[in-house]
Amino acid sequence: MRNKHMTDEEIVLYIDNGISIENRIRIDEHLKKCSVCKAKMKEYQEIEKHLKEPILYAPPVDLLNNIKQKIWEKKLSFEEVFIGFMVTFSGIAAILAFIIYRYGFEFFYNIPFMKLSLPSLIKTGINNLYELFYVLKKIYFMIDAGFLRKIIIPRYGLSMLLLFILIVISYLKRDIIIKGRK
Amino acid sequence: MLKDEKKLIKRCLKGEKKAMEMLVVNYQKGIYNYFYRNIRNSETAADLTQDIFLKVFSKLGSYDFKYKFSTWIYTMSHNLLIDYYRKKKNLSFTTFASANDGYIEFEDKTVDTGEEVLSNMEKKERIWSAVDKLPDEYRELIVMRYINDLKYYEISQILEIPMGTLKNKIFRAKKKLFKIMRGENEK
Repeated sequence: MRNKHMTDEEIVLYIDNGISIENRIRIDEHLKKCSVCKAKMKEYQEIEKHLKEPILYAPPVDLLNNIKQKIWEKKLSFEEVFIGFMVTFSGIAAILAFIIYRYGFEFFYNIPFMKLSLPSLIKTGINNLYELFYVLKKIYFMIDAGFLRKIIIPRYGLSMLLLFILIVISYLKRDIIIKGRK
Repeated sequence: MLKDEKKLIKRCLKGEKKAMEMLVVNYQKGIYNYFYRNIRNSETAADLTQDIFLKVFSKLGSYDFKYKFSTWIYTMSHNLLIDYYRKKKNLSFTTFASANDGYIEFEDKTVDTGEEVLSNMEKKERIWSAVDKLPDEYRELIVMRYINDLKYYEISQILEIPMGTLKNKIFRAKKKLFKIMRGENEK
């Protein structure tokens, strides 16, 4: 066998350590005598060596940034959008409610703003809740145009209008709100 | 799997941006080179690399820690490459850009101007341009083995072929490569 020249298969297997020890010894012996196979083997080993040291290309410089941008901008789930919207909206509504509470009555109804102590503030809050409950009860049991015109619209019309505008704006600008949350 | 990599993936699952960035940095070069070596178009390779990372982060929850992360990510890359070839077949008018297009730069090119180093670089370039001439299937195997430095068992898992078949295919790929090289040398 070893008087013949080595086949490509034998060379590749030899380089890959894919042959038995006996065959390796026989090939080594053959390579000592055969200059043709020795040259071929050297050529193949050089190719293998260069394959093991590959030319690696640097990815485009903006690739990382593009990937990051895409990952961060991934679509949020419904829950994430809903929670984000509600948190942002509640925050804005609370600030506006305070502004309306502090300056609104003075400005629109000419009622002077009174600084209240904490107990009286709580008392007022409870009274307001009673009032709200009363109003809701009225709405539920006796909705009529006169009641709406005389009580609901003068008392709560402005706040409701503002809240409605806020809801619309928040919905239209939800992308900004969600990004801002991140 | 490396303990650090496992920790990194767990941090990614918690949504830590820094960890996600580190994971991208660790793998982007390998993935990009995998695609670039196989399709020879830097722009498409960058797009596919980007797609892979988007897939990785959207499917990270389903990643099984039993397996190597590299196997998982290269399996996805292999599937995406197959999809790409399929689409390319349908769009037969699509042409590939030349091998030296764009802003590609050799990263590990040494500054040493010694004659031997230059000649080594030339040889290396000749060999890798011979790899480009291999059929798609063989080229992918050479890229996985030598560019991505994947072990035989990993490649066999990625391609879902038995080890014996894989060894045989790699042998054929190398034989073909040697033939191409010999043909070039004879010229």
